Amino acid sequence: MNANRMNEKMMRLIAAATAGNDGTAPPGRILPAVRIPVALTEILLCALAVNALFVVTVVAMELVRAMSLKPAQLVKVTITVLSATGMTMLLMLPAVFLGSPHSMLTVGLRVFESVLVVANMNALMDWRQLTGAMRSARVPEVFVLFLDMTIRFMAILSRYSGMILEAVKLRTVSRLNWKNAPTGGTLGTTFLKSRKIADRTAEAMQCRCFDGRYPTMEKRKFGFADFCCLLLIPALAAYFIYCESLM
Amino acid sequence: MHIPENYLSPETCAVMTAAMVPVWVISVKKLKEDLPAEKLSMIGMGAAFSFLGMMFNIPVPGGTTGHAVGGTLIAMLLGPYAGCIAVSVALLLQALIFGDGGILSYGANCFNMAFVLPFVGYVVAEAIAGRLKTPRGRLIVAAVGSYAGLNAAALSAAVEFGIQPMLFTDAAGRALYCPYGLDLSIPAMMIAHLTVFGAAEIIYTVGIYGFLSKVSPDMLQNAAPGDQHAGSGRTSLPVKILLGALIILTPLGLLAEGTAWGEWGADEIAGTGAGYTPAGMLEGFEFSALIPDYSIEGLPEAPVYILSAVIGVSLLVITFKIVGHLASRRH
Repeated sequence: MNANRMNEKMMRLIAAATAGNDGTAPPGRILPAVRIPVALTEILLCALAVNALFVVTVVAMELVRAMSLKPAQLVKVTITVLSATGMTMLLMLPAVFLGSPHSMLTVGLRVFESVLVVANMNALMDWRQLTGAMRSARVPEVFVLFLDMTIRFMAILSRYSGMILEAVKLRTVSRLNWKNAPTGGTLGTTFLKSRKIADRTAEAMQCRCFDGRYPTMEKRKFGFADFCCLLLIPALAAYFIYCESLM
Repeated sequence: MHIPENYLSPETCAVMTAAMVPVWVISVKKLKEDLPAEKLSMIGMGAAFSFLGMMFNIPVPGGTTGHAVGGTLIAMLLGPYAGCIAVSVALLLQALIFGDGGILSYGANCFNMAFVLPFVGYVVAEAIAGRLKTPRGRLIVAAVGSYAGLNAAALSAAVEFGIQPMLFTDAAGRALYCPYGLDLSIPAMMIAHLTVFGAAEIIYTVGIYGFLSKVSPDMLQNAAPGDQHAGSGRTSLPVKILLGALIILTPLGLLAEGTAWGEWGADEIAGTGAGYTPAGMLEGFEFSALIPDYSIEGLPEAPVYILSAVIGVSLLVITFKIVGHLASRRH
């Protein structure tokens, strides 16, 4: 039964993670196409930083940003960040026994920073906006279409598998060996369902005159707030060089 | 007043932690019963004020330093139980991330600053509050309460330091932990707290209490239902500005050189008049904090001090925001 519970939890987790904000996130003031490169710059520079000052500064910045999130979003961000940092600390535990406890703190801090940057960004942006930003960055349309579909199908099929597993559990009287029949059955049913959904999607696309183009639905234009946010990239780079020169 | 690692024997630390456990349990229970869930996040704001107050080090003649705590301030704003939890969480953060106060002595630090200080301050304040009901009278109440609370906490810490050489010595009669007895620890702690640090606590408490009662009366424990934002649990803009200003001003705390009495490192204590380093300090427990003493080796002090303040305040606000959210969902 434990394996079943684990499967169910895993499916729910995947469904929740891929569903994200489910398109209900209000559009932020900053364009996703600007937010993503800033976040990537933060992560990249933190990975390159030899000096802790830069990493600590980015952590402070992101914590201030996290303070402004809604409590429900904050809970999600905290769970994500603490899970990733906790797992890293666990993996780095041998370093403590080998006499290098500082490496555990250094790696832990960098993971904390990187995951916090991404989690903060994710809290204010759903996956549609993320893939939309990729189109703005001239990523091929086919690639974005496949990525969009994959994320959407992962969410739908994970939810579906979770429902099947729950149904099987409710109908089972005796103890079941989950390594055998039901797992294969669940996978097979999920596969058939995926075929059906794929066919329906193809039909729907035909009905809507899909001609291979996959334009972004983002209507907003590059504004002053986006410009200010974009200025963060050279500012971060300059601060990074200053921090490194202090060593 | 932050007792570092190895100044108290492990036995003393265990007793003090055991004494704190029922206080924490009762405080959490009382908060669940009395404080509306949406106001729980306000404790984070109170903890942030306490955390920042402890970063403003003030020098006194003789080369030592001290600071305000702000425990009575939180007790007057949200009640003594909220004060206890807020200061306990602030102290935990200081011990874990900034190495300010020991991990083993966490229970003792909480006993002094999170239990004695807010409760004594609150009881004294309540005792005279009936006679002083005007707005100016409330400020006098805050001043007297905070002064009494801080000095009671300092006395408690001095006694904990002072009993160590009486209880724990080696074969040669030398102290294993804090080497100073009651005859030295009480005057050393109390003279500074009765004068300079007491005055600092009064200024900090009265200043912030007066400011909050004007711009954000919803933060007060006895806020009237008609008050702006009453019960909303939201922080008003002036309060955010005040926090920001305090964060920017924290490097003023670096102007005070020297170490607070009873907070010297194992390498410093022999030079303070003890003449030797107690064995318990040489072989005691050591914890490596992420940003020890709010500084990073080889880097300029002021920016790291400000960053430490930002990180501390953010973590406290985030923690209590999450706790408030979870509590309101449960309700």
